[in-house]
Amino acid sequence: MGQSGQQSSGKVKVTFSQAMGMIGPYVKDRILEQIKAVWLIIAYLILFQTLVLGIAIFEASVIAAGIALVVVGLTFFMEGLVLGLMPLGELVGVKLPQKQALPVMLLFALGLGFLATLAEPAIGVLQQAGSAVKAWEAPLLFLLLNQASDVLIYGVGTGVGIAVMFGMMRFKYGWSLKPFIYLLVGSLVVATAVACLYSENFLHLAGLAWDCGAVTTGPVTVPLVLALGIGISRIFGDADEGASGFGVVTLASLFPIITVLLLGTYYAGSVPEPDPDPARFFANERTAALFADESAQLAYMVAHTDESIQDTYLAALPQQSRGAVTTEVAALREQFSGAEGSELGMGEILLKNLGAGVRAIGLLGIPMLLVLWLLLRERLPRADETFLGLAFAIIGMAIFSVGIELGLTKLGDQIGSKIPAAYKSVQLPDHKTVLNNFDPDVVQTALSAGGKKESYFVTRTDEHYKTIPYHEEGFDAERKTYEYTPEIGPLYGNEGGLSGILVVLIFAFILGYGATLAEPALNALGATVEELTVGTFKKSLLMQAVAVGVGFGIAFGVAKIMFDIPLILMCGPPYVILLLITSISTEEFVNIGWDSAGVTTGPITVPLVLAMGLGIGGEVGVVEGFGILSMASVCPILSVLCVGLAVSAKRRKTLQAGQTPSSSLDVPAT
Amino acid sequence: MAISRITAGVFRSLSKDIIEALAGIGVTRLTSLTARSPVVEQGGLFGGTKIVDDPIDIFSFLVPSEAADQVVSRIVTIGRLDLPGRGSVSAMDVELPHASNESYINQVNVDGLPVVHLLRDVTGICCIVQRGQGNDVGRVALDTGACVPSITYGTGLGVRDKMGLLRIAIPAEKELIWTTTSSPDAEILFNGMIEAGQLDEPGKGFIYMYPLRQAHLNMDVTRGILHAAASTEQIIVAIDGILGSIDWRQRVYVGDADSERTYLTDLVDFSLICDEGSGDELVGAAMAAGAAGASIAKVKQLNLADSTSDGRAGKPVAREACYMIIGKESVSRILDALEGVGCFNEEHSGLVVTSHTDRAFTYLPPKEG
Repeated sequence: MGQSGQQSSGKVKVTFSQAMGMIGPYVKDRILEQIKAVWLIIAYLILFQTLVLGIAIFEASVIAAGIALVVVGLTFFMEGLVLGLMPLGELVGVKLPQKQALPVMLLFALGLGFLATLAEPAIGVLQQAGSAVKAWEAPLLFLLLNQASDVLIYGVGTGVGIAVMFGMMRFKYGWSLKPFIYLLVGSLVVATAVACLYSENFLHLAGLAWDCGAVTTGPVTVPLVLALGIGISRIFGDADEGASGFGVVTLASLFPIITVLLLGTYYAGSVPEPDPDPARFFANERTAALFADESAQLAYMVAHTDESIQDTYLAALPQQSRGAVTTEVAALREQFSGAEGSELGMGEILLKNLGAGVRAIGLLGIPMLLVLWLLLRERLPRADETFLGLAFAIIGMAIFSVGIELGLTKLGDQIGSKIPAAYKSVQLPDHKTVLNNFDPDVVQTALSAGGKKESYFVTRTDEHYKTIPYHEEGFDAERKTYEYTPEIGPLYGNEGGLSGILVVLIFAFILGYGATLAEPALNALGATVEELTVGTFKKSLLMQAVAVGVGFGIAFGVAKIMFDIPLILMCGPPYVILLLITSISTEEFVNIGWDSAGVTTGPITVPLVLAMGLGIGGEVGVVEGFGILSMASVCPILSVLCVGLAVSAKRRKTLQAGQTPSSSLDVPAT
Repeated sequence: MAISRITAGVFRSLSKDIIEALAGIGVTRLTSLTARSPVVEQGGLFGGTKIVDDPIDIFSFLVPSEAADQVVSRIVTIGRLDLPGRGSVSAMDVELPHASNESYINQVNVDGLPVVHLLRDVTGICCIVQRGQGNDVGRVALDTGACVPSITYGTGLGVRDKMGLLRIAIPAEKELIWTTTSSPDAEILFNGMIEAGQLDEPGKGFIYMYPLRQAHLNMDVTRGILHAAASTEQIIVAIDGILGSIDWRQRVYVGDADSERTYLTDLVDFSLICDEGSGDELVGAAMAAGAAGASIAKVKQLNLADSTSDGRAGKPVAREACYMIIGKESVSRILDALEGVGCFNEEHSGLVVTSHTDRAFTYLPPKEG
């Protein structure tokens, strides 16, 4: 700004080389920023697998390419948020209350929340978390994740919609977030506890319900809702609150718990109780409610149970229908023994993720634009910039998701399945070894303490002699080869020893910490907080506080799975402490703290955490991997609120320090 | 009627008291701006110093000049700003070039209110730099012991917006560093800030200084363990009061200005405050009429009493403050241009305040030929 008389009107001509000179540093800065965000978690995963676990990385080049895509995708996506989505949200937020009455605003909020859930369906994530759930172990959960998964999405969507609605009302009337938290968390904890006592079905559903809230708030929804809230509260905002505009994410994490529990109550009557005996379970009349039709039920049974169970089931069938069902089961057995999961090609992965990107940005961006143009009759200032931003966001989301699928998830899966090796022995299916010229004569017999005989042989690899258990099916007599899956572990201490468990917990902590720093939604939240507080609440401070919290949360969550601690015991005490701390914290930190909990479980953390949770869960044989994510939501609230208390206390002290008795007021004016 | 603009930057937790006190003396309309104030804190991990940022609110409003002394004193008294590190307040002479804006003058009732000791020979400096450079420039004020700066966020409008989509490559986010200090200190500070911000290089930023009527400064530039009965800053303020001047504090001879630099003179500080979302359009009109650019900050207008005429009573309104430094001769042309796009209508509810600018500095491209 400034020089008088030195203005020109119209466009400034920029030569190609000048343009490149400007774009170069711009692109470099953005990419460096994302590298700074993700390097920790990636370097950590690679070093942990290669140095601590001592296993080479399988498909390293694909993973490296995937990681590069994550960086490029994040760069595009974050720039898209800043250029397109967030300004759009803020503009609608500023204009809507000025031009429309409250009912229209609330209707818009309801619709937006609902669309957000459809745009970023976390159901895939939840289905993955529940993939190990067997129908007979948790029928209600199974129903909601499979046959009734659409209803679940709509239920969660309605919950988020109501949450956004209440969020808007809060801004308008300046309500505090605290009563919402007390009321919702308090009643939800009680409701969950009562429901769990009432039926075993709810015990398993509770994990899903509490995770739903955390997972639904994705990387597109959070920045959009934040921007909208900030716009609205600039119109209504209270003079003395620095953090108005926050709080919607918190409500959007809590309301879906209500709707999911309600859905559970609705379906609870029609589903069977959990039954440890699958054969009896499949014979139960109510079991039919879990599947689309009878053949789907049979197919599920054949795919997930032993033949002995199926035979028991068939034997119990009434005479007239047994024949037909037996033939069908036989056909299904045939079918399943041949079928192997086929891998998606590169093109298909790209197309699928591009579709998801278009859907997420389109479902949220287009209604916003329509509201702006049709309902508010506002022009879009800098329309070119907004559209470029939306395009960036779509491209970014697509590339980023491909990268996650190729790189991060693969890396996470590898480590997740091997991390139990720290405290127990684990097989390494990626590292199948074939010994040529195998002679069964080298096989020897060992005697276990219980007097059982086991076969083993000794092989020499890299200057070391190693004993390997011998299983007959690995020997190919014709080719004289022996194929085996190597095992490692326990790497630290004895089988199931404390030092190994400690290694796993420390690993979980750093995994949570590093993944959180890379989360795009948290980065957006942090930048918004810094912007609104004019730099007094630094983004880095918030991110560090949240990341440490998530780290602890994930470590606790892993402990829950390893020791199979019930969710209510795991989540109950932290929530009680949380309510206490909330009551003594300032409104500003309560809003920011609770909101950051909702954004921690994003596209980077979830695949890594689930991979690890399922890996450990699979080794110790627990029903579901739920609960880690809820823990990863509770702990960061605690850590942010604690930081908030420390900061507030320091500020109070600063002001008090100034209140030493002294005065220059009595000096007369000159 | 002579008008003064009062600007008070106070610690966030004092804001409520200040607003109540202002409402008590009849202030109905004021704008509030969120800011931070950095101070040097002693201690830390290795016993060095670090900058800590405190949240503050900056309030500004217009009063008749004859009431300025009492209003400033009132804020000092209520906020106990005489104690170090709680805030600063100043008053400057301004003009309202558009007649419709006169309702923004707060007809305060200050009869019988005392006047405290205030510094008279004071100068304000505002420096606009790229986002992230604020503390580097603000640190100059802290290190010279001049005052505690206030830093706000804003976005820049200017050449960037004439480049089409390529503009996204140039960050528009700015930081505005506001300092208030005694005039002799201001010279040193002005040049120090130019150097710290490397403002003599292209695209780095802009700085200008303006005279103030009176001020109460926040001089508590450091924070740490206090071992004396009074802090150095308190002693300085006390001596200022006894001598009735701050000349005794002058440490550097500032006779001739730095002859190396070419300052911009004959400028006017042209501040436009309009409704949220109008800034882009109105500044566009102003730029077409001769303004080179603007820095826009989001502010909130508080309407304290029910007596305001335009029915906006009670509710705070989201507004945008557009700061422009323009040549004296362009004022009327820009005003006409703003009038032409309906700036002063209900749609934008524009308020234009102009004031004198001593001098300004930024990178100027070498003249061709």
